[in-house]
Amino acid sequence: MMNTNQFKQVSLVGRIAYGIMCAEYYAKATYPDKDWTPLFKNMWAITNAQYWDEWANKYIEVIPEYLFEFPTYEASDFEYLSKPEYDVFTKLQRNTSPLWNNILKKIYEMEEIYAYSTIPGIGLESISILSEIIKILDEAGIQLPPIEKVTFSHFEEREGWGEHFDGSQLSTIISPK
Amino acid sequence: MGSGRSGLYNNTKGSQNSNYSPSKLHNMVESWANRIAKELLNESNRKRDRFNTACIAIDITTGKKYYGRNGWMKDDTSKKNALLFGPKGLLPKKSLNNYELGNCAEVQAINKALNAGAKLENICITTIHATKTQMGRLKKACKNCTYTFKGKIKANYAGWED
Repeated sequence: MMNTNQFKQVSLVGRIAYGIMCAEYYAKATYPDKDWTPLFKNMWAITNAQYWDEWANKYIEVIPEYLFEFPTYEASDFEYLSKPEYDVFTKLQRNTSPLWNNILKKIYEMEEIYAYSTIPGIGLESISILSEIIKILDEAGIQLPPIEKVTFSHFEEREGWGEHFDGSQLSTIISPK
Repeated sequence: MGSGRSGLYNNTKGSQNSNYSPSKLHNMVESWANRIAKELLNESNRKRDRFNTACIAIDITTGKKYYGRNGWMKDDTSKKNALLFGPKGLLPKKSLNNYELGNCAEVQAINKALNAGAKLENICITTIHATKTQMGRLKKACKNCTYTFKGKIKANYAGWED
């Protein structure tokens, strides 16, 4: 089991990046034949997004729970997702498991927990959410990403939020820019 | 100092017997947030789950209440008050954090109050979490709102950024 105390020194964006890496490991282990590039391009955008609320507005639309909430694109009333994108994301994620939805939703929750506020203390709430993602991988017997990949992003940076960085450098699915 | 169900109201001067006590504002904003959450849920789970922050602003000279929610700027076409948004407005020139400038629940609530003629020094606010898992917990102001309103409004019962 991973010692999640190690994340206390990591910024919030670093913690979210680790969550996205976990999602990549889960996707590759569980659905190895799918091309996950479009989804992870969307997810990794948070690491250098100017505004996280704008990122969240777009990201929530591709989380399965919301993507499949209505039977058609027209009924879904998406604000950002185009019809061609909808077709790509629904094809990609149709028949994925509730655990997959949980992982993606918890990444969203990590962004939301301090949205429009401050990070109290060392932001233990976000580590708690990240621990739930780690537990899903543990219980599925899936290898965890090395934490060393995100320790460069320190909690001291920008009152815990962390400096922006190019998340594609950490990805094993999308190509670095 | 008042005490909330979810922790202490820090650095507040509101009396528990006042019509505008921290606990009364807390109850009012939580009731409002629950109503909005229900309305949004009727539209979609997605819209419900984009709702994460609610704020009440009260003008203590009139007793009028004004509410705000996160992400309001894309839906609310009401006037952006020049005291906040004008060329010499109080908001910082650019966002000091990861969230779009002015999109906070506090800004919507206070913008409404100012448009109705309230003066900043007569406004008290309380802000809460509005997510399913955190509904009702007090939520401190962000860096943008602390820069804009701290020392200018009468009280923020949820607290400022440290």
